[in-house]
Amino acid sequence: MLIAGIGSPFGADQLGWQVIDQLQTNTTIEPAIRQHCDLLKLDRPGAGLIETLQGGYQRVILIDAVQAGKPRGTLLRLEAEQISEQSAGLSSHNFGVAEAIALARAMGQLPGELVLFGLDAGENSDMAFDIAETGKLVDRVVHELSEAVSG
Amino acid sequence: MDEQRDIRIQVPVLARVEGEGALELLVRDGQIEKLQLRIFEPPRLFEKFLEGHSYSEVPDMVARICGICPVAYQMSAVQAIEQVFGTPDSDWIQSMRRAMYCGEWIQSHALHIHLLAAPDFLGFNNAIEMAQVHPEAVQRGLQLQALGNNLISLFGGRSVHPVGVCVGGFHQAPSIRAVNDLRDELQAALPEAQALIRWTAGLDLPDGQQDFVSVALRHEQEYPMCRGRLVSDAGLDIAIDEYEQHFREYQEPHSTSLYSLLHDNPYLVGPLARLNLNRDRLSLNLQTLIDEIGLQLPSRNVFHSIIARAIETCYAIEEAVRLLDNYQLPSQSAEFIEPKAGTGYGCTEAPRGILWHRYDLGEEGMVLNSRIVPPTSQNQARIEEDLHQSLTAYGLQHTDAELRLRAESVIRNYDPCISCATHFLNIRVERE
Repeated sequence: MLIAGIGSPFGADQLGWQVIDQLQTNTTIEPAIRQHCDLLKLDRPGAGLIETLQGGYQRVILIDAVQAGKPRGTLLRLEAEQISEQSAGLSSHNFGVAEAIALARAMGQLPGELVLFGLDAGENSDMAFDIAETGKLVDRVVHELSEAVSG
Repeated sequence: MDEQRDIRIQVPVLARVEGEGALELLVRDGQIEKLQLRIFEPPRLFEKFLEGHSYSEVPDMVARICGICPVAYQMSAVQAIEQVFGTPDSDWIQSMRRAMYCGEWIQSHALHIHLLAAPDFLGFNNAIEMAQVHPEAVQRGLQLQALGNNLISLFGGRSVHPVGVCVGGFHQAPSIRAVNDLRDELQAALPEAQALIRWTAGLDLPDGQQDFVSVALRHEQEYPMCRGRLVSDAGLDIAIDEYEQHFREYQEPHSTSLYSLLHDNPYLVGPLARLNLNRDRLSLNLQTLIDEIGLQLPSRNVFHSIIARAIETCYAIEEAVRLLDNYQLPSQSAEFIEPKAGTGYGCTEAPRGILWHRYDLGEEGMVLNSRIVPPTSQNQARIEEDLHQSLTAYGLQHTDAELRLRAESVIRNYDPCISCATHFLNIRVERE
């Protein structure tokens, strides 16, 4: 399994990296689960995301800041089909992310399972998310991880 | 309590990642009365951020300017700083920097050719549609892109913000085993790279002859990447230190990006400009291949840029193989250089064209002032000139949608940093 945090150095867009950092030090993830997870940070990968998706992982979780017109801090969970169908309403990265996923699908190279978690940056995309906001997303991802392994 | 975050990293520059570019076109009585292109340009903001920082932080900071070409930013920066402190003597350092740069050219060009430009010339709206009919072409592009990334990672240490490059050399030397493995991969990719050149030459490219000045680096022996003098096909031949005496920047009210002129004229930088000025520096193999595909150089058709990128991709693979052959570990991966005050200049060939840096350094090498001129803004005046001529030649009676598509493909020839979004262009056409 791969958990990839997508981001850039700017404001709310650092979310993906913040979550990966917190997952790395998180103590609630069971060692048995952690063993099966690779954690990765990507900087504005654009179409380069496809290379990551082709890495042979059965399951991929992407983390990214989004702009879906929801209140700041709203947590979103999207499946692969939902991401590639929605080119509007998601963050600028998701234009790269949506394209990368759609392209991987067009070539029959999507991982078995792909899901994206994000927080809506709201109107303040230049403000980085604080620990309370990112903590909520981290908990949700940890929950997903334990479900994935037991399910 | 909320921690106060450092304001320097809070600048809202998502616009570049959104691919903000806008074109305004006003047509009156069948003539273009107004044409303005707007590009957003984060490198300028970094000029300020760097002030007050140590020279040792500069490579890591400038790498963050661009997600696509961090290596180019690092190379221009260290060249400028080393001009003040002393340039490392070691062949190993110069060769490995060039090899790393090859990785960036391969990665950037492969992505652009396959995912951004080719759909235009094969009649597809985007790479996704193209992949459904030509999956092998897209797969080739992705493989070459991955190869380029691996070559960068060989020296850069990690996938986010490659940290290999430092003033004086590299933080560490890759192992012989890692280098040999990658050298073999590069060698194995050569036939595909040659096939790529033939493939781009076979595309149905519009014929658009224009008059323009090409500007690039030129070196006594090598096809230019990290070193050389600045030359043009209109007689320019200067040291990079003299850039500011010949190139002038100014601001147009409609764009946050500065425009650049050479002796008061627009000019072209990038692969086609490099090829126009340095064809004789390519390997004999490649020169023969250029003749075989019937590409006349110098070329005045900017649509040939896709072929130029393919040629440079192949060159970069050949060159990386040559540089990594018989690799030996160096006695040290970096030379210690004493920091001192002074002004230094760096100019290297990023995938998109010349990237020029100037740093004024104080005692102990602290940055007092910096100036960074990226290739995309240098092309901005040329792009507007091109659009003017191309759209007129194409015919303004076409629909808005057709004009937008033609304008986008013209702009994409220049591979501006906003190309990350395939359809970035908001076009507003007013007809009176």
